[in-house]
Amino acid sequence: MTTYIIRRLLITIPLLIAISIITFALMQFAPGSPAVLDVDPNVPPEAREAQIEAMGLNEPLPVQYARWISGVVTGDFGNSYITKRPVSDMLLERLPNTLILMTAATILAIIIAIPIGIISAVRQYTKTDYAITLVSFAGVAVPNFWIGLMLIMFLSVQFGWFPVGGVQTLNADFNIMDRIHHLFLPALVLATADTAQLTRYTRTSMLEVKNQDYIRTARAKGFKESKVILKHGLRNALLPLITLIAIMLPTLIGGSVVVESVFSWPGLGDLFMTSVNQRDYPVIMIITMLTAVLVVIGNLIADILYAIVDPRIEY
Amino acid sequence: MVKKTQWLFLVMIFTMGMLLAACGGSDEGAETGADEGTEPDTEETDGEDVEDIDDENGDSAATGEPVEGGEIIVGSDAEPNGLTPATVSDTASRDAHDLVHAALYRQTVEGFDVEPDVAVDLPEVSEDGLEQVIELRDDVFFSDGEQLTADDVVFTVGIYLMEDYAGTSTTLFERVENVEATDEYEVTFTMSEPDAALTASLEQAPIVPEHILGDLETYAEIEEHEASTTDAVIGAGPYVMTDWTVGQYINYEARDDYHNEGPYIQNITWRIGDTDAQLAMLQAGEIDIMNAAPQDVVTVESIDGYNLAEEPQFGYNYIGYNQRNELFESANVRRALTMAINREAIIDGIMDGHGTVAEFPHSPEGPIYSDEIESIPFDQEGALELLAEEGWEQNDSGQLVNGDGDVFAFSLLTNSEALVRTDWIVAVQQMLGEIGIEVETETMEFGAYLDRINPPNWDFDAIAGAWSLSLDPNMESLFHSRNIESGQNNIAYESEEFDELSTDNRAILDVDERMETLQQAAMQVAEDQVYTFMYYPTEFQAYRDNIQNHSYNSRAGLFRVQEWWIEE
Amino acid sequence: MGQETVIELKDVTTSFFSRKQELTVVDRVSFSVEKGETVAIVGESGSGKSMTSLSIMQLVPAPNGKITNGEIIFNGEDLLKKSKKDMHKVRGNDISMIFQEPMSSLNPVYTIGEQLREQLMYHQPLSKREAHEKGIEMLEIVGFARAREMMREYPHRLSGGMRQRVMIAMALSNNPKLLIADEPTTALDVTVQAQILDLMRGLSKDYDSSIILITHDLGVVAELAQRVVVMYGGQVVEEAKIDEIFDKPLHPYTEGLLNSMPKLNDEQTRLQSIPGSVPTPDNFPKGCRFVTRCPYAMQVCTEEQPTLLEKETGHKVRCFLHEEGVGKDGNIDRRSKQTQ
Ligand SMILES: Nc1ncnc2c1ncn2[C@@H]1O[C@H](COP(=O)(O)OP(=O)(O)OP(=O)(O)O)[C@@H](O)[C@H]1O
Ligand code: SF4
Ligand SMILES: [Mg+2]
Repeated sequence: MTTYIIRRLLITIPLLIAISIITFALMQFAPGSPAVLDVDPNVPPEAREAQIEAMGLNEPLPVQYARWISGVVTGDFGNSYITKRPVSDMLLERLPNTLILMTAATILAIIIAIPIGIISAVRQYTKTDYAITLVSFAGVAVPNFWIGLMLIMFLSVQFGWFPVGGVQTLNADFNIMDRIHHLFLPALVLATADTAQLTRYTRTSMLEVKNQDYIRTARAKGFKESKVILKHGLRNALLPLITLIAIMLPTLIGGSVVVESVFSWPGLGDLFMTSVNQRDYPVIMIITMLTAVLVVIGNLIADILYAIVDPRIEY
Repeated sequence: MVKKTQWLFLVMIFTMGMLLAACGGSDEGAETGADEGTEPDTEETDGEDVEDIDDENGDSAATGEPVEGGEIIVGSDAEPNGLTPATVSDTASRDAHDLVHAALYRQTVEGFDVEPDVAVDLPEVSEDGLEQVIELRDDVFFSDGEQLTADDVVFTVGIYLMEDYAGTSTTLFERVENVEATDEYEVTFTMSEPDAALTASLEQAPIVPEHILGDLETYAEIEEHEASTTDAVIGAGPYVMTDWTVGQYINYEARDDYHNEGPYIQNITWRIGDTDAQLAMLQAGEIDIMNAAPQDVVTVESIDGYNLAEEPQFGYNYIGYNQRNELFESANVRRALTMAINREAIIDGIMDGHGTVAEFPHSPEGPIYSDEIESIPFDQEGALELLAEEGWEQNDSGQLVNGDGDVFAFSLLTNSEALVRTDWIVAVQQMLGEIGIEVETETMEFGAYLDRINPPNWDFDAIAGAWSLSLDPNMESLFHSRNIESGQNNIAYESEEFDELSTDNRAILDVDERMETLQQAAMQVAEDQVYTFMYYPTEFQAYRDNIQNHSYNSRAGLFRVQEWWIEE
Repeated sequence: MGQETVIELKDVTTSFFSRKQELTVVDRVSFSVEKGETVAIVGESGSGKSMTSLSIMQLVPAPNGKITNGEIIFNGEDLLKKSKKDMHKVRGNDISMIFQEPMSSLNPVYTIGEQLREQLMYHQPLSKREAHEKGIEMLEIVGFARAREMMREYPHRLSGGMRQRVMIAMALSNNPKLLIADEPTTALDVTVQAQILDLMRGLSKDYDSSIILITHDLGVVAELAQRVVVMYGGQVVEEAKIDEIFDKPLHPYTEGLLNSMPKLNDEQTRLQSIPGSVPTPDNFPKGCRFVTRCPYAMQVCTEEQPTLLEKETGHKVRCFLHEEGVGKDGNIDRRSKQTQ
């Protein structure tokens, strides 16, 4: 097992290097120079030159890349072009919020989607099944921000059941219930697309498992249908979903950009949005890298989990 | 479970219906907005001017005596990029500076003039204009208790003059040769050339504490210092920043040793959230004040307990013609283009009427506006006549062609973030199409847009843009021929008359005389139709109706908030 | 033998319903199994053997498959009248079943031990410990030397034959009165087949259990069964004691099956298989279902269905050749069949 994980980690390294090169290259080719250099055409050419030099933007690209990546590797992410603060500080103050949101969304997606997907599969071709299918297609199709705005409109503004945004009541002391109260809507919205998708996959996976011979065996043993489905069906049906949950990670990260803005949730997505608007490249690049790393780690975890839960896989 | 599913389904159907209804109902309102903050700001002008309070729109006439206490929560869609004024110029930063810092001069409430703040009076200017002496008040303290002295002023101005200065306000003090503390409370500016705009420049340069930042040697160090980037900031303004939790909120507390009137409201909290979120917070009563986008005006008006203040923006939208392109060489042609565009219709149709037609390169409320400015009517026949004089005639298929048979065709470029402009350039395309001019519209991301239009590329025919104006109505940077190669005169307007009138306006120390000169220069620009001046957009601020003595102008987020109070 | 009937099927009919049609895959099947007896159901692929056994278990694939008619008398009660709940007590307990596909019939994510124990504990009031010991015992019975270790193994580590033995151990663990073995050896290679058959033969002797053995391999039948039910096109076409089937088959289909069986003492004889293939349920001929392939087919066979008649005691057959009034030299019309 350990060697397996190490091997997997080693495979990850060239992948991350490739991603870092691509990220770096994309930023180089993005139109316009960093915002600070654009804003004022009155900056005397000498000052501009000085700034470019200070930022190291006049060196050959490989040198710039090497300096950037060696900083990244040693944890020195540089300073933001805009706020001048260390990028690592900016990330650290937001990362927990994003992780909380994504974790909550994942949990919500799982606890909503799996039962519904199973019901849909067990009741294949019934009205229940059709209704679930319809709703889950809608869930994939309807954009996050719209669902978010609608929920805010009704549940927060009209009924006042939930706060409009933020992670906690302004200027209040830490209170776990208050946090959950604030977390619920954004997590729900962030979870919608994945819930819908996961429902679909659970259904498909369950349908496939339902026709397996070992399910027939379980029935022949006399077990009640619920035991057949939940004990013998579910575990097998969930195996392929583990990988799926890892694949969901990028959607979650993508979704968080929108959801965090809509719900004023001070996370990385929100920061990313702001940074893109201001073309704050050091921040954009690190968030992109971080996302890539998260995705890679997510996949790794999925593979390891898969290996743990599926006895057929040997290392 | 069946029940639950059906319920979900119903909710789905219901919300779908809402979506359709929402789409149907908002086709006018939704088109405006969101160009603020994306438009290129002329640097020396990183602001708009003070406006009179608009009483009709509910700006509170103060009732009774000011009361101390209370708090307001302010919606803000951005956080300051920095807290040392020399380093940044974005709107959110400026709003924060207004709260925590004080400058030698500040805007008057009544107009867009300056009045002394930390200074005792206006500068004493020497005969030749090369020396300006300013006396400081001796009762001004920073929020950490240190007294503000001439050293702090010298240090503050010094930042702009540092060798590695890379902030956005390079032109503010370009005429300052030396600044010196000639007494504990007296500062002497030695100028390379006379500068009538010095007070306006000082208004934009709030004083930062020398005793905190004074040891730093380079501009870069100042930029990165915690007093420039965190709630460790120290200033001499009416409020002190007590807590900045990034991405969430910023708390300010009233100072009891502030040197001017106020502050009355004890606590101010900035709550960070995008405009949609702010609107929802306003509806839910979670915030007390926000700047409302034009398309949200109807919604805001329907919310009980809030007033809406309305002011024209101190700036204008325009179409700029690249005069390197021979199509646009002639002022007659440019005038004809303006005549062929129905600006009223654009304001009414696309902007819900939230704007007024512009004819002049400065605000009607600014000091150089002239009532004599001729307004150019919407007159496509007249436009065709003018074009005919320039050799452009419509051919059989209605195209406008010259003697060589070339079609009058150009591309009109704007940045995609400016949603209102991306809408009206299409209207312009259609209107010019009516007289046979072929316009191709083009939109691109702001960075790419700037790349295209700025030196040394100038790769455009015409652009749709916007300027925010400066307190000082000097418009050399936009229209003077010496700013063609490297400045903001990217359309390459060249006029001997304008150059002559404006070249040394900063040296004219008599205010009236200077304003008159600048007015003539502006008239020249209008006469030449350097741009098609499109309109002055209207801006809005919603605030809770218990806020007294509220004043609003689009140059500040919370204008003179220290003089507001909350009715009990 | 023959003193006590364990199960009796009467006119059991099972159909699949689709929007368009009803396909009857088990058509009025009747037969019975005595205590200690092994009854073989033989027939080519698609003849309805598995469906018949699944009908007994009431495990016909839902929702399209339904038992539409008949009675299944077990222990004096009609299983078809039992509630769902009561059937849970019958399956895996009184009646067990092992399947054709040993490779996929065990759940890949649970250990052998878990799968044995759960069945024991579901039907008997055993603690986990007891169930475990009992499981080990069952594994030993089916011939595992290292039964205790085997309990911890996952199915994928076992060969097909081992898995089938585990299935048998599971099926027998609650001492069922009836074991249905649906082609238990088909998927296994020849040597393993022999082991499994030996095992089953031993078990039926030792435990005096009744077995329904489904196969299309007459060799297997000869080794294990006392009685044979021959199915074709969802119907029983012949039923007889083992020696009668081999010595004097009455039905032309049975005859064909026997001819296609390799004979140990006669290696030169070419294996003769029945020409043509089993018609699918949506394509059954109007008359005798075998008519398309029968060498003796007569005019009447194309028009009417023969009935299952008891020709001699304990020997039933469904063929006009054996019905009164139809001669063996009647209207043979082979050529027209072949050109069909
Ligand atoms: N789920 C189903 N839906 C429709 N028809 C089915 C279904 N399962 C089986 N059948 C049909 O029922 C008939 C009998 O099938 P059955 O499985 O009982 O045959 P069998 O005799 O067991 O064959 P084999 O030797 O291949 O196992 C076949 O024609 C088959 O096509
Ligand atoms: S009934 Fe006719 S066709 Fe059918 S088996 Fe007998 S002889 Fe052949
Ligand atoms: Mg079968």
